[in-house]
Amino acid sequence: MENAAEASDGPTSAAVKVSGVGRTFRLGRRELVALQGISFGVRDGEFVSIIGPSGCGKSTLLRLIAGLIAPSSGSISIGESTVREARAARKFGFVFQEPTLLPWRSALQNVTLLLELARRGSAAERRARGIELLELVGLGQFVDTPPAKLSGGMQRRVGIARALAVDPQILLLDEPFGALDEITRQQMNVFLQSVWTAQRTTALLVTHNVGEAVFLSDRVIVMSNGPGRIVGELQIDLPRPRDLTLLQDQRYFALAGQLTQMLFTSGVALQSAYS
Amino acid sequence: MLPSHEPSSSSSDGRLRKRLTSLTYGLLIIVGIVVVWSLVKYGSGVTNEALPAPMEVARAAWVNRGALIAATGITLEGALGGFFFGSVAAVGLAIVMASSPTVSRTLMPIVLVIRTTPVIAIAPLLTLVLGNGIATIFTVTALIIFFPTMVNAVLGLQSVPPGVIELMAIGNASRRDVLWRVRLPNALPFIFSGLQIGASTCILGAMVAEWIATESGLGYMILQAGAEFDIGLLWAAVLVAGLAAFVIFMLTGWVARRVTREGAWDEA
Repeated sequence: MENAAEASDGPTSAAVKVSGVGRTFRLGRRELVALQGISFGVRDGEFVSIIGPSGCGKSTLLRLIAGLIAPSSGSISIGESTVREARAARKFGFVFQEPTLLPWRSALQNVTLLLELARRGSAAERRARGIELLELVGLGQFVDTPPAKLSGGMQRRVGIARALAVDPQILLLDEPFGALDEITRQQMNVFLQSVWTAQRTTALLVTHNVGEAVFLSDRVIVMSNGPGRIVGELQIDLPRPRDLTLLQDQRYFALAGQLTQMLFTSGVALQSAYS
Repeated sequence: MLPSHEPSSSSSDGRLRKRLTSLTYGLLIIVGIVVVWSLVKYGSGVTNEALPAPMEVARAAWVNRGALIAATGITLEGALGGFFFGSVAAVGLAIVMASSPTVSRTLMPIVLVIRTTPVIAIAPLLTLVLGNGIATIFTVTALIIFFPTMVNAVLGLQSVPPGVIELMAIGNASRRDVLWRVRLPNALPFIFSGLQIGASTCILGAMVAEWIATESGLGYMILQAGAEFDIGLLWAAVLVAGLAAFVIFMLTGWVARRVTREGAWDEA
């Protein structure tokens, strides 16, 4: 366990480099410091989770990295480029807390939406790519199904397929399974693990679930609130590929326990200990 | 005759049966109205001026069928034209208003003034500017029907979930992409609920214009029949106007259901 100051900046091949980032929101006359002095790096192909309690600014941090909002201080770079350049080059895949599917489009049309925006390939090529991705996420039979006819877990999988459609260099996941029941969430984590193993993109997951963070990550960054800051970091050196048997593994329990303790000793009340 | 009661598993059969059933109910309601109407008429001895008998109205309609059909045609043309132009203007204005809060704040008072000034007061002015022709009818009708469509369209254009807007930003979408691929499709159900209100009032709009400006159509026929104490024709014209409004309303609803049915929207 290291503390915030020692949290790794990553080597020069950092896929994401966050340096001294702060973000302040204005609430009427009051100023709310959502994030303060955030520095960390993510290596190419690394799966990093950011864990912390609700309101610690972890979702804000993800939006800063994606360029959806601008930092009040500090800087963020994506590989060699700025956030804005990376977004223009469509280097990001983003999976939201809610499925965020367009109800008037079929599953396939939802997956190909970002390809259409990128004016990438012909309509037939986009369709073929979309079907390929839906098959990857196990929804090959639901190509023409509207989202309303899909279950919550299936909708999330369409969301993941959509994020992968543009071949992103960095996959940003904002509590993608937070609203699912525990059993579905476990299945989705196993599934995400296998998809990520196949794609090997850099991934950054925001979560408040200790089990999820340990199960999926190479490294977990621990945040605390008031103001949001990094309070520690934990390396997860469990072998891959990982499956549900890992959940009975002593090493998994040890790491989950260690992470839970890091969260508690940093003065954080947990929403759920682990799955 | 009632629809057949054979068991059937096909859904199109089921839909047809449902339709026939609602048609049967519709006819029953009309028959019921005519019966009650006759009972009131013959049971209470009200004068013909206050309430003509159903057969008297039917007879007047038949005798004047040529004039009635011609007047209906004129009114329908005015109503549908005004409905069309008013709705296009409403959606266009809504897109402009929804594009920025500043534009919205600037335009809204103007729109409200136009909306709240009684059309009856504006119509004579419009006649002076646009003449006694179809242009005035279109304009008056459009003024009467555009507001609900515009307000609903603005609401629909602005009620896109924030996550979807973020998604489009991740996709580096242009404002135009966001408008065509997200805002307009999202607004369609809202626009249609505005259009249905417009559909139910466009006949009224055309008739108001006919009263004031053009001296033709069902509106003028009603005025004239009233002045000549042709009570049967007066009622016939009123009923036809009501029927026309009803049909336009139902057709709009039918189109709305077809267009906004989930999953039926094609790739833009």
